[in-house]
Amino acid sequence: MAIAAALLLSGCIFTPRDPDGPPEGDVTDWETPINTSIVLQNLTAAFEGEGLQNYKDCFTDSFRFHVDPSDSLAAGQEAEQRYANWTREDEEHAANGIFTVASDIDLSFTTIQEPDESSDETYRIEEYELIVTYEGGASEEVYYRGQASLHMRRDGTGRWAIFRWVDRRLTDPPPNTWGSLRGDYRD
Amino acid sequence: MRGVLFLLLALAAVVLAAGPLFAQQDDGDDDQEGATGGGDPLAGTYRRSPRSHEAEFHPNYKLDYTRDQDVSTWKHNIQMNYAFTPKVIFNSSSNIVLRENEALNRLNRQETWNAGLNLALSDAISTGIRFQRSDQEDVRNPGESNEVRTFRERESFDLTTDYKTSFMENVGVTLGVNGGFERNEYSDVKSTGSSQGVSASLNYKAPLGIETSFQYSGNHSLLDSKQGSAESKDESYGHNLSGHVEYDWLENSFVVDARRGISSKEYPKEQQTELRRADTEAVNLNADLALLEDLSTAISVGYTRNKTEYDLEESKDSDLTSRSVQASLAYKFGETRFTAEMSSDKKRNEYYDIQTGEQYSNALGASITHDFGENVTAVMRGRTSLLSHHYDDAESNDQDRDLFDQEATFNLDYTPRDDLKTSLYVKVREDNLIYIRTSRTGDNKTSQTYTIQPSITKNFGSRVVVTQKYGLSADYTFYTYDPDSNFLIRNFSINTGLTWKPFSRLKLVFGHTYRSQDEGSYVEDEDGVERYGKNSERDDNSLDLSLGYKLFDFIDIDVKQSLSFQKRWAIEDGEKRLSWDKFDTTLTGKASADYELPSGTTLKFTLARVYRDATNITERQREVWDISLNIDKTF
Repeated sequence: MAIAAALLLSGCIFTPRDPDGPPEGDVTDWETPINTSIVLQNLTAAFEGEGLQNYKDCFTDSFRFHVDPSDSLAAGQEAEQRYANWTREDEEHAANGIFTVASDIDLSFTTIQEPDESSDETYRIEEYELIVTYEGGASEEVYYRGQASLHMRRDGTGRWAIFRWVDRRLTDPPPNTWGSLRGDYRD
Repeated sequence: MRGVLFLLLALAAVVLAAGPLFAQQDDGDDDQEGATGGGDPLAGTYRRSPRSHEAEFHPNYKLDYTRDQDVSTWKHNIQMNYAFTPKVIFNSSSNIVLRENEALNRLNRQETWNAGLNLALSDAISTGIRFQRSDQEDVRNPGESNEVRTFRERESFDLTTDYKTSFMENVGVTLGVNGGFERNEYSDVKSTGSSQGVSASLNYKAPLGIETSFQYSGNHSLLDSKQGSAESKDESYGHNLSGHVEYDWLENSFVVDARRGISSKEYPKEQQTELRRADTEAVNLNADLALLEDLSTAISVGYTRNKTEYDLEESKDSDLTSRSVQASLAYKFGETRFTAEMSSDKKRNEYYDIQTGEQYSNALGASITHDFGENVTAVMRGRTSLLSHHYDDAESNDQDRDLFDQEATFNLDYTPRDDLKTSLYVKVREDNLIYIRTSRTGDNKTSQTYTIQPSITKNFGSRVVVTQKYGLSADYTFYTYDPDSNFLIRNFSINTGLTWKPFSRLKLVFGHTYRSQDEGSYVEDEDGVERYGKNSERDDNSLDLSLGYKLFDFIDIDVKQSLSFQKRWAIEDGEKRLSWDKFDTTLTGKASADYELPSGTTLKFTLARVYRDATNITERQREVWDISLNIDKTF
C-alpha cells in the first residue's frame, strides 16, 4: 500500500512544468566537460551569459570556496558571515545576485599552471579578470582580478567539475578579487 | 603581548598565593592515604603528594612543518594542563601557524592563545578565569616598498561561575554566568568594552519515560568603537532558547526539538554603525515506528525560519522559511530487504531583490537487496527527484527552472570461491534541465547516461592479488529546441592492478589504466534517423609502479613511478588527425618515520622528493620537495 501510495503521489509531485516556448535568444555554449579546459569554457560562457544552472553545474556538490586571507581580514566582524563555509548553494546565490545587478559581464582566464589530467583529481592555477558593468546610473565597469587555484575532480562518467576554489589577490593592483565580490552577494 | 604577560603574572600570583592552601590539602591527602591504605575507593583521586603533583604537570608540544612546492607551513601547538589539586585546575593552549608562499611573496600568521584557571568551590559550584587571544596577519611583499599588511586581533578576559545540581534523580539544573572585557582591532577599527553572558539548562525525566531538556543562553556586550575619526558605542545581544522532548513507547520513539534565537549586533562599517538583527526559529518532529516485526518506519516533519535585517545594507535583508517532511521504511522478508524513502521540501526565500521566490524539492527512492545463497547478492535501486525554482518577479528574473532527475542502478556481487570475487554494476540516469522563461529555454536539455562496470578480483595465495575493472559509458545530451547541438560522449576504461607482497616488509604494486573517449554530434540525418558523427577521439594510458619497504620497523620507504600518455585526434571528413600528444611522468621517493622514544615523545617525519616531467611544464613544477615533521613531546 505504501508503494502504491508513493507511486500515485509521484505522478502529482514529479511532473515538471512546461516551458513558455522556444528560445528567443541563442543557446548558451555548453559542452560536456570531458577535460578541465572545457570546465573553464563552460564557466565563462555560463557566467557571461548569466546561465545560472550551467554555472552551478561547473561545481561539485561538495564545493568549497576559500577566500584570500587579506579579503577575510579586511572584512573584520563580517568575515564569517561573508565567507565562512562557502558551499555550492552560496556560489549559486552569489552568482544570481551578481546577475541581477550586472548589465554586462566579461570574464577571461589565463593559465599559470597546467593540470595533470591523467589522475581523477587535479588542479590548475589561473589568473582571472572579471569585468562587471553595473546597471543603472553611470553603467560603470568594475574590474576584479586575482589568482584562482581550481581543484577539479572527474566523476564516474568522465565529467570534470570544480570541488575547491582557492582565491588569491594578485601582487599588483587593482586589489578587488572575485572573492570579495562573492562576499557582497552572499546574503 | 601585554595581555599575555599580565595573565602570566596573574597566574603566578594565584599559584604563589594558593601554595600554602594546596600544601595543606596535600598533607590531608597524605593522612588520608595512611588511614585508608591500599583499599581506598578514592585512590587516584585524593591521594596526591606534592611530588606527585609535579609529576602531573605535563606540558605537551607539537611541531609540524610541511613544505609543498612554494608553500611552507610551521605549526606550533603547546598545551599545558596542571591540577594544583583536584579542585584547582589550570589549562592553557596556544596554536601558532606561520605560512609562507614564495611564489606569491606572502606571509600569513595565525595565533590563538587560551588560558584558564578553574576552581571547584564545591561539588555544585565552580568558578574560574578565562583569557583568549587571537591574532591574524597577512603580509604581501614583506619588507618591500609595496608591502601591504592586513590583520585582525581580538582579546577577551572573562570571569565565570557555574552551578549544577540535581533533585530526586529526575531533575538536573545547570546555571552559568560570565562577565569580562574584550578588545578588537582590525583595519582602521578599534573597539574595547565589556561583555556578559548567562546560560541555564533544565533536564527533567518525567514518568512514562518522557525525557525533556531545555537550554537558554544569552549574551550582551557594549563596546566603544572607533573607525577613523568616527566614534560609536556599539551594543550587541543574543538570546537562544531550545527544548528537546523524547518519548519511548514499546519499540517506538518520538522526538520533538524546538529552538528560537534572536540577536542584534552593532559594529562599525564605513564610518557608520551597522546594525544586524537576526531571528531564527525551528521545530522538528520525528517518529521512529516499529509497526510490524521486520518493518521499521520513520517520519520527520520540520520547519525553520531565518530572518536577517541590516540598517545600512538593506539590500542584504532576507527572510528564509523552510518546511519539510521525510519518511522512510525498511522491511525484511526472508533473504530480501526492501527500503524506501521520500522527502518533500518547500522553501520560501524573501530577499530585497528579484531573487525572491520559492523552491520545491521532492524525492522518492527505493531499493531491493536479495541474497541468492551465500555467494550472490543483488541490489536494485531507483530514485527520482524534482527540484523547482520559482521566482516572484518573472519579468525581471528569468531563472525559473525545473531539474527532473531519474536514476536506476543494479549491482551484482558474485563470489564463486574464497579467492575469486566478481561484480557487475549497471546505471541508467536521466537529467532534465527545463528553464521556463523563453529567454532561457535555449539551455533546456536532457542528459542520458548509461554505464556498465564489471570487475574481477583474484587472490593467488596470500601474497598476490590481481584486480581488473572495465567501464563502459555513453552520455547523450539532447537539446529541446536545438537538436543540431545534440551530442554524445563515449568512454571506455580498463583498470588493472596487481599487488604482490613477497615478504612482510616489502610491497609491490603495479597499476595500469587505459581510457578511451570519443565525442561528437548526435543528430538526425535526412531520413530522420539519429546518427553519431564523431568529432574527436582521445586515448589515455597511465602506468603506475610502486614499491613499499619497511626498514627497522619504523621507517617506511616508498618509491613510485608514474607515466601517462594522452593523445587526441580530431576527426574531419572521416579522417583522423592528431591534435595533440602529451605525456606526464612523475618519480616520487618518500621516506617516512614514526618513532616513539622511551620518554613518550613521538616523532613523525616525512621527506618526499617529486620529480615531474610533462608537456607544458614550468621549471617550478619540475622538482618539488615535500617535507613534514611532527614532534609530539610531553614534558
